[in-house]
Amino acid sequence: MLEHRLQAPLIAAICCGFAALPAVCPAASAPGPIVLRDVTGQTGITFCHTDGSGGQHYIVETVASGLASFDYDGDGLIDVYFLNGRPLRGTKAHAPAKNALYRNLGSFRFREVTDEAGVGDAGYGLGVCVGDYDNDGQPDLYVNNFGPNVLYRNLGNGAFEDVSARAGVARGDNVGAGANFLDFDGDGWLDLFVANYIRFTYENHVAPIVRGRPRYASPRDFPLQPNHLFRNQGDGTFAEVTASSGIGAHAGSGMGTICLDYDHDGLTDIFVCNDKHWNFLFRNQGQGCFAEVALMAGVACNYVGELTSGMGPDCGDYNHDGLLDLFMTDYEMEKPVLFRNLGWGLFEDVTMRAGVAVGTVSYVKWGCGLIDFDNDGHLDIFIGCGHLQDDIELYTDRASYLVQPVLLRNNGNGTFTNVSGTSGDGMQVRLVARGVAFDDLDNDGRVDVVIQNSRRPATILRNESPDVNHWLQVQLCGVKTNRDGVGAHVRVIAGDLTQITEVHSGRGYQSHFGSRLHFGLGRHGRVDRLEVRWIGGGVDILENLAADRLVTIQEGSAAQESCTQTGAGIHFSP
Amino acid sequence: MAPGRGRSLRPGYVAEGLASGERLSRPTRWLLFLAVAVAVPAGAILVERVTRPTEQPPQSPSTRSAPSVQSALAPEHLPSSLEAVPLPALPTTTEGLIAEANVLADRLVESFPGSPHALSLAGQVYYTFGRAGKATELWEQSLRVRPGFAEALCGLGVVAWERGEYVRAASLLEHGTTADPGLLREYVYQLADSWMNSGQPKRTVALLERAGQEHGLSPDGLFVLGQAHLELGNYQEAKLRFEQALAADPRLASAHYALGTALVALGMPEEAQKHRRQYLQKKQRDLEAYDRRRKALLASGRDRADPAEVRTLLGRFSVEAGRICALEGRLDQAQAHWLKALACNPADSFARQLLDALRREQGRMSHLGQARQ
Repeated sequence: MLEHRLQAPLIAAICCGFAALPAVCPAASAPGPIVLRDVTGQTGITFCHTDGSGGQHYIVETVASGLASFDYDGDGLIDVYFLNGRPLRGTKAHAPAKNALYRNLGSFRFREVTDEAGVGDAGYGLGVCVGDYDNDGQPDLYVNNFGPNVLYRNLGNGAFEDVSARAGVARGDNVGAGANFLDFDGDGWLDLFVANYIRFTYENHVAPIVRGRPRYASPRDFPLQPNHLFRNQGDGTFAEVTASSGIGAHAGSGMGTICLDYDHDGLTDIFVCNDKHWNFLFRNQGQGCFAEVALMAGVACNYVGELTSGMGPDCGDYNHDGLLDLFMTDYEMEKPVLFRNLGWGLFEDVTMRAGVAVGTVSYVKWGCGLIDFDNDGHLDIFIGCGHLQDDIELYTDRASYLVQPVLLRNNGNGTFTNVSGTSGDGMQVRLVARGVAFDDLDNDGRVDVVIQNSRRPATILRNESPDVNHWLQVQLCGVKTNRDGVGAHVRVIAGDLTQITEVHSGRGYQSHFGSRLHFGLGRHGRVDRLEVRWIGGGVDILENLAADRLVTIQEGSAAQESCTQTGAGIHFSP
Repeated sequence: MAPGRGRSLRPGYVAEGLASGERLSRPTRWLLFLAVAVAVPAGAILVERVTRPTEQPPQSPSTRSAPSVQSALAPEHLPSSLEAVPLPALPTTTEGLIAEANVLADRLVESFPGSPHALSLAGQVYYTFGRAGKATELWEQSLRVRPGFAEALCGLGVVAWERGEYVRAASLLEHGTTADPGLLREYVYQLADSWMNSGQPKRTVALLERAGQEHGLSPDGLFVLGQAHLELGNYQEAKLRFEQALAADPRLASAHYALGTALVALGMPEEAQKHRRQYLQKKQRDLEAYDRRRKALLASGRDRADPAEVRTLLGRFSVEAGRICALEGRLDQAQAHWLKALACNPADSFARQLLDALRREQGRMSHLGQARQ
């Protein structure tokens, strides 16, 4: 029996504990420094995803789909491209399913332009990336399907052309995953990395029975698959170099992917999240060769050597040490992983130290982004969540099919705080998230969120964080290097704040976003120095830039102030 | 324990396993330490008598191969006092057995609304079979009846831990294991992990160093201690603990991996690579065995939620429910629970001992009653 002298403090502790139920942080009262509002209803985006399911529990249903945010028509407004599934074998099709492109009209209004753009692929869309593969100044689209893939060439007049067969990147009948454009050989042409999930066919389909009901199988119930690498030949075609590059020697269960120069040797490397298998880190050794080094680099698994169900990665310098770190989402009862880049090609799992498992571990986690939502100069973390077993609540109330997203705010000292409960009504929506994209949709200097939901309409969150901090957005335009500047490394110095990032094509959960780089500057109203290190070694330096604007930087020339943000909207100079 | 292996000690793992289709593991041993000598004197005496012969948890090999519980109970194996007692029939499906467990919990709550033990055990049953909300209610109720009731604090602590509410989890688990140090062995992993995830690895080190001095640490305990030292940047100490863990259990792949991490930090990359390779070999072996089991299960077409596993758990819960009834003086109900425990597992020697003691006690009481007359 507990002594009386111990009971009072215990009661107090218990009451305090109960007062905190059930949320990790207090219920929303006064909003915090980050505010995300659900504005889906006002946007005109009516896209509704299908995974093509019909009760057979094909594993491919669980991994659909990603999305892309990018400015397809060059009008300075970020548009959105949603991937869609399609009816799978045994499912009765009620209506044709296809991908959908929504053109941004400004003021958070969008219009569907799929048919006029010609990008309504009716394949089973899983992953997507964007890149100007032919350097004609127009961003092109690559869709990674369950089935043949599609390369859409942007014609520049609001329309695209399917050039998959001609380009040689259709790749056959695999279950796709993430995809990335990258210039791995520094020849100025964007090459293509195409990840594959497990080897699923209708013939090897399995659906285990649990408590009398069929469930989705585990990825470990299927054979692994290698990924593909295609080298851009500069003439609109690609040559497959999977085997010669060394990429093909490693079979996995790829999901989200990201390309980054993690070891700062000027060569772009590739990180692949694998589902219940060791992750891959393909280190670019030059000469078109890659070595798989994840285990030795410390990113193959989590801190205890467990193979997590790697879903989506993003990278960013969360602790301002000048090195790109990696963040990765995974399954329920698995902590998301924050890999801190130590330099010298090594990473350390700092998940516990950083506090990124707080309030996240019980969810199935998918799309993610290292994004500065409040422009304080520190990268925060947004995670889209949602279960994959749609009947999970029949078995347990410890999990839920629909789940709220998670927002972790960077405290600026290497740790994060879960602020999901105090960051606006957009964080209270219950979703079945998969791909998530982050871009400034209304050009107000605050990054917004678009969420692809499985079997449901998309969700759009508008960033309405207090406008108290400064920011800078940077668009790169390569001349000798690839036109998008993919792989270029950018450093921004504002007072005591130094930030670095790279231009990526394809990131998060099988998605694409952030071609336009965004830097929060905190209280700094000017950027002292901006450095761009292009692939191939060229460097451009700009100094003394005003904040709160989009700056377009052409390789080898002075910065061109192509647009100026005013209170009334965006103005472009010719 | 390392997270992957620690799953088997988490209350509620069964529900997760049932939800995910993963194989289930043995139930938490804390259930079996639920012996508190308080309450109705007859019950207290009974509990004392039945626990005196042995304090060891019962061995319960899976009854998967026993086609019929009744037929396995040959009369010559029963204590003579039980020969004439029929064992209750049990459902044969997983769903039926889970329903049976839920009924057990419901009846505990109905019968003993003022007993923190009953409420807490009922909470454990609900949590194990996927009703965390109901479990939380009962643990909270248990604490209202008896503030500081250790099992309830720890139950709520595990709920918080699984939700990633580490600060709260650490507080609840610390208070619970302070109130009943006997529970520490069951919750040490969750407590250590909660501290490490809430910026308090020093407390993990202090706890495990003390436990190591008092009782010695298992390989998994050494591993967690090493992990805490890693979090603190005590790389030399971390290296030592991982090496000790491996010396105690060379199969511990995680320790090889973590040792590699410590060696990298100590500037010994070549040594680190050796251990990472050993990790890979051992982990690969573990995975291959795991994949073979999965494949066999898939090929068999059997339900992944094995009724035998649920029956084992139901048996354990029945033993504990019986002890609570005995403490409250409800000896007929106690007998019913222990008979059910035997029905779940005919080889459950602990349930047999309890029943035998009950019978002897009933015979003695009857004799005393007759003598007074």
